[in-house]
Amino acid sequence: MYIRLALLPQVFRFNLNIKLGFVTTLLTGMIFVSDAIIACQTLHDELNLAMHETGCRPPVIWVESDYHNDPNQLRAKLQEEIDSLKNIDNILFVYGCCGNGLVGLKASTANLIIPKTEDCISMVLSRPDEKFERHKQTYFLTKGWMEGSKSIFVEYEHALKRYGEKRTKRLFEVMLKHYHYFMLIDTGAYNLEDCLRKAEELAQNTALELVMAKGDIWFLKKLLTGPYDEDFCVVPKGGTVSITHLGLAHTVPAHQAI
Amino acid sequence: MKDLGKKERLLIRLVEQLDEENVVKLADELLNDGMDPLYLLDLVNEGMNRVGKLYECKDYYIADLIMAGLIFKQVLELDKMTTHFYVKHNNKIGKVLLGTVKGDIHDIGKDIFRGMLEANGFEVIDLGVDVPKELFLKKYEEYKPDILGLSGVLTNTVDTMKEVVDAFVEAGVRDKVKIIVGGNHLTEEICKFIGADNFANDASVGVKVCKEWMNGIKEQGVIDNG
Repeated sequence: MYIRLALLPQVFRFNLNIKLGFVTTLLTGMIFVSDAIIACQTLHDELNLAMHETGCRPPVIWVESDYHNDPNQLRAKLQEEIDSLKNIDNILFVYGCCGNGLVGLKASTANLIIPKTEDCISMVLSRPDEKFERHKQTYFLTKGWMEGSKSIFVEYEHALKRYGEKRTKRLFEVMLKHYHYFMLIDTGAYNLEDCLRKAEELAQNTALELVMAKGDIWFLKKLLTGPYDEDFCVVPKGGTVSITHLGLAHTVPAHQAI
Repeated sequence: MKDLGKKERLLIRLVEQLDEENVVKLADELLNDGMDPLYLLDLVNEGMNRVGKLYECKDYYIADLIMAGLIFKQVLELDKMTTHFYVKHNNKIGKVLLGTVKGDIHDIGKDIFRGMLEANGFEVIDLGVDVPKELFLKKYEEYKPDILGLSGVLTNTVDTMKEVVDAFVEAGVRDKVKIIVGGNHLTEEICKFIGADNFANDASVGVKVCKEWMNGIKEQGVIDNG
């Protein structure tokens, strides 16, 4: 079981991570906080790197990235996972607003801690204390995105098989008509070379320009260590995630700009 | 959709199977044989609904939804169809101003919605994608539509849609137009937050809402936003 030694009040959490059984001394004024993570498979490599770099390794429930396409199904799946957890204080979400798929979640078994960010793109492209502006006309790629079972690469292969080259070209002209770029994000969590080759090929087939960008995992590291300041939405056990919790309607921190 | 003939059932199945060439061929044949264009569109629409269900079941891909949209468009462009709608040109059931809100360039759903609205007798002014609130207002003043349709996919479009609605409130025209917001990420709670009159997660629901509104407007003579 993973627990974290924390100071009271919670905002001053002491970020020492220990495993039950190795604790010999309980310091006065400290409590044990037990965390679990519910994470989107898309951020698998990035979360693993963040856990490695912070040494925080709560148990992780991985959720398929396909839910990205249907916020209602995503909400139902996440609620099912929340309801199934026992003896946990905080559930950390490796998700952003994700099509409002997190709005309406009930904190039935623990406190919910959710990054106030639009999605996994803004999560890895934003910088602390800097305003995040989403690049326009850009289709974003990371290894996690590319490996999804309904990724644009799978779409392309499916179309090619079903409709042939000529019609596939037509379909992708419609699908990507407002896009000019593929942006491959180097989050530092995976080998870029393999992805680069695949992305170049797709860019060539769809007549888009491939550009690169440097990503960062600061948000994920902060999710693991705290503090849970204005970058996060904290819904206490018994509460429900509302649209205002997630920082819409201009109440978001300036550097998130969601 | 009961008691369909063999060819009608075949047309629905061909749409479901996304058989572009044969759908267009059979639709043309049925129209030349005297089928009512609106009835034919109902059949095509039934096939489109089946495509939507197959997408929800994860059997179909986004590329398939786009193919369904292209087939639908080609049926609408058949000679008998265009003639039918040309004759009906001065008898539109309502006017819709439509666009994907600023910051978003997704338009697959919007385009399907537009096609279905037109097929159902609406006049649609499509402002395209990444449309700022100022342009929605300007075009509202120019066209005086019955309905404003705001589309989006990205999460932050909730905020942008609200800004458009607020701009209409500030301009004093909010109560003169019905507003529908469309997108997969929208719920009843979010619709209320935005201040829209209704929302739709898929195009056919959106069209149904618009038709009901127009019926209400015709009955009451004015738009009631209460």
